[in-house]
Amino acid sequence: MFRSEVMSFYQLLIPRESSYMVMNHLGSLDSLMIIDQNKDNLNRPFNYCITRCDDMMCKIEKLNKCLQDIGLIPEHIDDFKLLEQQYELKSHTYLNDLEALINHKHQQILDQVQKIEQMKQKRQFTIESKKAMIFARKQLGGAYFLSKSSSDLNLDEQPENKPLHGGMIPSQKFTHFVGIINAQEYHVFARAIFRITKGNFMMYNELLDQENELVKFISNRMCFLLFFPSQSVQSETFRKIKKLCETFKVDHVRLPISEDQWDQRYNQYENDTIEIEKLISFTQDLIKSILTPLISGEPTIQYIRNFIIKEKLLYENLNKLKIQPSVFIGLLWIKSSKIDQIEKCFRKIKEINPNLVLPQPRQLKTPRTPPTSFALNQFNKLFQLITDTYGVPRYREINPSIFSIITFPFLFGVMFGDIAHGLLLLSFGLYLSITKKFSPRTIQKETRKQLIQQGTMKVTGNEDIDNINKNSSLQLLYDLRYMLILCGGFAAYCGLIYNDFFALQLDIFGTCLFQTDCVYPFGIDPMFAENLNFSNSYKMKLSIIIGYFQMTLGLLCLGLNSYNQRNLISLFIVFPVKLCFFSLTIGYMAIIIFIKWNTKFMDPGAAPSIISTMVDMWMHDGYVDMQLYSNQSQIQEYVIIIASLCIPIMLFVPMFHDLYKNSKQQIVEDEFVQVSQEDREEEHIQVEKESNGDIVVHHLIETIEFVLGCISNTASYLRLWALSLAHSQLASVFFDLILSGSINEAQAPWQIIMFPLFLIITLGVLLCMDAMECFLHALRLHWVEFQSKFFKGDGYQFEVFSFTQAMQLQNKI
Amino acid sequence: MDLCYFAVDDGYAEAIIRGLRAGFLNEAQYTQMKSCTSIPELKSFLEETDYQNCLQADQPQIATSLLRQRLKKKLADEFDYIEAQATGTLSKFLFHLRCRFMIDNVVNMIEGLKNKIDIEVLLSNIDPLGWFPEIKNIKVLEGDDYANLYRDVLIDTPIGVYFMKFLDESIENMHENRTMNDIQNLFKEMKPEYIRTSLKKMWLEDFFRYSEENLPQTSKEGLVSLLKFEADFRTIQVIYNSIGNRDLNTVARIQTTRKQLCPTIGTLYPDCERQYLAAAQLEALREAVKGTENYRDLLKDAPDPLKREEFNVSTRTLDDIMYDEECRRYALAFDGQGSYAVFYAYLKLKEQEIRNIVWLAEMISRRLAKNHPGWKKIIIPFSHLRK
Repeated sequence: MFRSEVMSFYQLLIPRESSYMVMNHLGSLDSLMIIDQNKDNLNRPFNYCITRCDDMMCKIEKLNKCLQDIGLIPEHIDDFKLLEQQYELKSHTYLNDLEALINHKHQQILDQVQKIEQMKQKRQFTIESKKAMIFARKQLGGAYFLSKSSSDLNLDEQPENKPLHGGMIPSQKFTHFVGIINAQEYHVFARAIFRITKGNFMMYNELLDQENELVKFISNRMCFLLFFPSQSVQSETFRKIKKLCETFKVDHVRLPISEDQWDQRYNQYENDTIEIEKLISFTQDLIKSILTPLISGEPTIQYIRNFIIKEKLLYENLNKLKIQPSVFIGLLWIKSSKIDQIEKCFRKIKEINPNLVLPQPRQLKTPRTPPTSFALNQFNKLFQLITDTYGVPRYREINPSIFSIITFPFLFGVMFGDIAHGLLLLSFGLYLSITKKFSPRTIQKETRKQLIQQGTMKVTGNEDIDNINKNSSLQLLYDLRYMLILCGGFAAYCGLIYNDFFALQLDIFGTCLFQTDCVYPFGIDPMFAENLNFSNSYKMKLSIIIGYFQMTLGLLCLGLNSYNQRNLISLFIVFPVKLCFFSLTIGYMAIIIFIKWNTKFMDPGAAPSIISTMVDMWMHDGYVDMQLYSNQSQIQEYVIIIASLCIPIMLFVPMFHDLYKNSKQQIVEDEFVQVSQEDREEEHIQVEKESNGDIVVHHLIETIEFVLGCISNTASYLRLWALSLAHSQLASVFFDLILSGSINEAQAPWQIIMFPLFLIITLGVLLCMDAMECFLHALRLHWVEFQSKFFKGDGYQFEVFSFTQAMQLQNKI
Repeated sequence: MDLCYFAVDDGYAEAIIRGLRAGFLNEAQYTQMKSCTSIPELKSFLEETDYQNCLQADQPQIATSLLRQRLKKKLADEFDYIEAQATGTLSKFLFHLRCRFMIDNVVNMIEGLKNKIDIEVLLSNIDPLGWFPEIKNIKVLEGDDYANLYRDVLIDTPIGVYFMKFLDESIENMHENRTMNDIQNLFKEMKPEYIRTSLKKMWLEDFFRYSEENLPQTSKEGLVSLLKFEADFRTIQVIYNSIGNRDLNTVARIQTTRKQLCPTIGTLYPDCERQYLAAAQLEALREAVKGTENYRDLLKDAPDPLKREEFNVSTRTLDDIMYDEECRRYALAFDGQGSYAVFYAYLKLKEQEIRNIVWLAEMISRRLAKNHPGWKKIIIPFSHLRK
């Protein structure tokens, strides 16, 4: 974990006919990465297989949805390795079988669902027609049925009908028309009718209310009764209205002529509805019987789904191979510790299928930089993520996330130092990791339970969906659980040192302020801790010391990296010189601080200020105003001389080295062209050619950056003090304003009211917002101040070719 | 001065447009599209561009017409969004822009109904930018009775005004003692294309007047120059297309038709009107427009309309030349600040982009060789600015 795993570069010549088999086994090794050799080729040979897999996945999702609707939820699979072993025996034709099965099921379901849709529509139409009929009867009045004619009626015979507007000739014949239309289109329709009939029309309408919840998603419908003057069915207006009805998809309802017919029709509608209901429930049972084998039968839907995930990944990786007429050439990185597994895997293939021609693995040397891979677990995953967000470590570079496991929570603790707040964080972290309530597996299981319940109750509601979403945000916190534990622990520890408990001072051991021969055993004496002047100066110095040590650690890492890369110039010149310069400037300051802490000053005014000592030293060549220790002036002069000497060494030695190397490289390159191409691999790497000017500028900038960085980075560590101050002050302000008054005056009811307020503010502002802020600042100190000392961060991830991983990802575990 | 206040009302809408600028395909993407060999490939390429969401639901082997419809739908959605953000003058202005598409839709519907195409097919081919609820009602059209169509349906629509004017003008132009029969005959002979051109001419004139009178100064300047060019473009197109047209056999008839179809705005009107109305050959047309802008240069490369039969896919027609010029102007207008011309230019340039994609899709589906001159016939928006 300290450095990324050692990689080996392999070339595989895979015969075309055994390619599937080989890839199938390689994918279960979980320890290799296949290099994509067809990056810019859009037409990859196995694209059609991938689209097939995508198609099937789509269909499976649909089937899953159907299963959910009827309350059948497949069991989640936990052991992917076991599944993988089962899959290993299947050949590539198995996909065809599954495809046929899925397509068949899908088509069956589709047909049935379509049937249900049709029946629902029919039922809706029946219900609507019935309502429209009742509506028309209400509007027309009972007298309508007494009249003889069906489609035409003379309004004169209907005295109780509502009065129509003027300009109408009483003897004129009227046609009436009953229909059902989408409610939102009614107004456009009415207007069109108005234009066509030139205003000579009457129209009554009524909104049909939807009783049935199954049709509630269909838009509102409206039935209307329309009268317009028309002599016959042949008239122009009639024809036009008919056309209009067609475009608006109006459902025409024929009215019964007599009372008898009315009753008959009414009963018929009732019967139809019942019959359709029966048919619908029958079809639903049919769907259930089609789907059940996917849960209980063989193969189950989860089995198929994971197989397709696996298959898709396999084809995606086959696409990465270079295709030649009879062989596929694969280039791959494999973890060196797992090399023997390749042989093992081939032997296994041989056992299963002795006739197959096996691929030829060949280890090659390559100029490519290998990918970076670390062994991860639930604990260090998060810290690695923090580092990777900044930059993936270069191959075999020291992994800064190892240090950050401790330094990160520690810096957080320094800023967040408060016993109570720390303990709260710690207990929340412990709660998360002990109960595992929000772990993906638990959530998955709960969701499944919910869905089953929902499905059997056939209740569709949105609240459950909300619930699932809420869980996913808590899942994020679950990932942070170890971080919370560590951060909380360190915050509590630092709080003990600062002696802060909700910004109050704990007097555990009894203060020593006015006693002689007494030392407060742990942390700061409570009487001191209250004094802002003291704690400021103390925390400020502390931050510089912490900064010095962390950055020195970074420089040591630089040395180790140089050693590992056998970079002699860096190891023997740059690293020691940098370390020397850094120790002589910032390190010297830390030493002065320690000396000052250990010296007893009778008169506080006589104590020299650290800042003015440092300024005087650099401005006036080691001049000392108030001496801190004997020979200070001389020692400081040496310090200045040595530190100043470091700068040119740091600049010129590596610069001249690079210039020399650059000129040599050009000569080598010229020779290289003449060297025969045999030794070289088919790949080319671009040797970056830098001009000499670039090199000079590069080194100049690097040196200036380091020298200035020593000061500015140290100053940056002062944020530790600033945030810690802000945190304790915020906490004490909240306490003073909200609680202290009522406590001092011993007003119990007031306390009862105020305490929840205090709790909410503490939770919201201090534990959420301030914790976030401290987190970000700790992040910055790691990314910029610490990592800039040694970390290159230009590696790339090892993308493992692993079926298990793909299945885990797709199943969200 | 109006530049100071522009952003108060219209800043947000303009900002959206500026953001949408990033959605235009660039030259490299066009090159990639040209290298596609099949429609599914083209589709999967488009799914990686700004058109991602509007194509996802479709089959890989998407029909060209459906592709066009989807692309237009996306443009319409964007336009709807902007319209929803617009207030006051801008929203009226944007509505005016829509009228052009409505005219197209109405004429397409009429044409389709005459050819007895199913209403569902027609409705699915409607340009979503010019959709309005009454458009379905056009179905009541009987025979060629446009007057009734106007009375029954179009009177309520935004483009009713233009249609009324069109009817008035066509009836007015007839001889004195006309009968109902004559009017019927007139409508019967009328080609939908003719209706379209006249309606569009009226719309253009109306829009021009609206822009001149109601828009703030900066917007007015930008738009008037664009619209003038568009009017000239129309004029030249009408003249060019009527040269050698066999339906218009008499000189008098040519003149009246041309007069009816040519917009009465633009830089060519009224100074050159007499010359261009009389132009019977390409050379005469060139002569007529030589004094204005760079039209002579534009027409220099246009093929002779009298040899229309010899044209093929690779011919660079007048339309291509004009579109090219248009694109240049719109791209320039798009880079202008604080002007409504930006919205107009955006719409036009996006239309051009859709035309390009559909053209390429057409080329791909016909499996034309990659060295076919047709591949070069796309006009890439904003490519002119780089030259």
